[in-house]
Amino acid sequence: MHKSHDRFEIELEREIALERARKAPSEPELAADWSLKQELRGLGAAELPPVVCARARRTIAAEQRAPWFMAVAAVVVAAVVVTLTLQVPKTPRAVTPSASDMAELQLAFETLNATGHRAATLAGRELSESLTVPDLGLSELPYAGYIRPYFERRDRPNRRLPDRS
Amino acid sequence: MKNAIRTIVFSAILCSSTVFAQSGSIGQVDLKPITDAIGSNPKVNLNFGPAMMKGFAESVRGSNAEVAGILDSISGLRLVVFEDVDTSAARGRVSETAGQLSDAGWTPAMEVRDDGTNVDMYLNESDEFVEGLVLMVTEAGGTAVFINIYGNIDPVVIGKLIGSGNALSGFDFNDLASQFQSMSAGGADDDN
Repeated sequence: MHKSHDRFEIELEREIALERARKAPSEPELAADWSLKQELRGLGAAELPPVVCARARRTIAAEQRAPWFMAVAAVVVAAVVVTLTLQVPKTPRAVTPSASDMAELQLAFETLNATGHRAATLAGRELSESLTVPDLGLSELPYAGYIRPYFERRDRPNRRLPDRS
Repeated sequence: MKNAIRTIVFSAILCSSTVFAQSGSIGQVDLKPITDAIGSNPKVNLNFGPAMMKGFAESVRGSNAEVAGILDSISGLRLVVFEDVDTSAARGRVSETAGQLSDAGWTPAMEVRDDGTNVDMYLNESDEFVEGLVLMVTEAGGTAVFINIYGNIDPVVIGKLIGSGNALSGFDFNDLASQFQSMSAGGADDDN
């Protein structure tokens, strides 16, 4: 285990020394290796295709921005959660009402009912006064005098159908 | 970096403003400007909030589940009654409040002007519920009634209230009040 590790270290050092060497080593195999590396270095980097280049740039940019975007997203999510939590209607704790509270509620509902009913009655009266009663032609019917009272509006005593019988 | 901070601050302001905008009950209306305009003490002045209404609902649930359901749907009830007052002083403020409610999207459900009696009723409706009702009645005789109920109220209840004057049909308050009184008396006896 130690031996293999030492060997790796030695080979790595030799490789680094070969790359940094300014002159070709005396050993033929190493000299060939050195000259190949020199030639490859002189070739320069090949141009990447534009699509691959753009993708690589996007990936790098996304990697650089990712932590900020994640932080902002986390803050927004947290804010939404807090908002929703605060918006949930808090169930009020029920108060046990006393007899007088109950009497007050009764009074409130009686007033509410009476006022609502009065308002509706007033509205109904105003509405009925604004509507004209259609002439059904009752006076033309035989025994109109017997039928008429059933159709007459009790809230309008002055208004009478013409008596033609 | 700066953009990120700006985004965070903007989000926080947006969210907090939304929270404040949503707070409070939609159908709740401040009747104080109107009552202040009359300038005298009301004969009846009742104000029940959500906790009290829930308490009422729980109290009657055993005896009448239907009425308990109606009371459950009402988050709050405000009732102010004046007698022998100059109602003309309040009419201007009533018109102003009616205008504000109309601007805020409330529906003018009823408006009656009859022999010195003015009736204004406004409803705030959602798809399913009546979320608020304001009924303002001023009579030349000196009586003025102002009512605001709010919550998620079944429109049928409002219909009963207006149509028959009996929103809580089939419920005897006297029975319940006497039950409460006997309970209170029992409690007092136990204390002695």
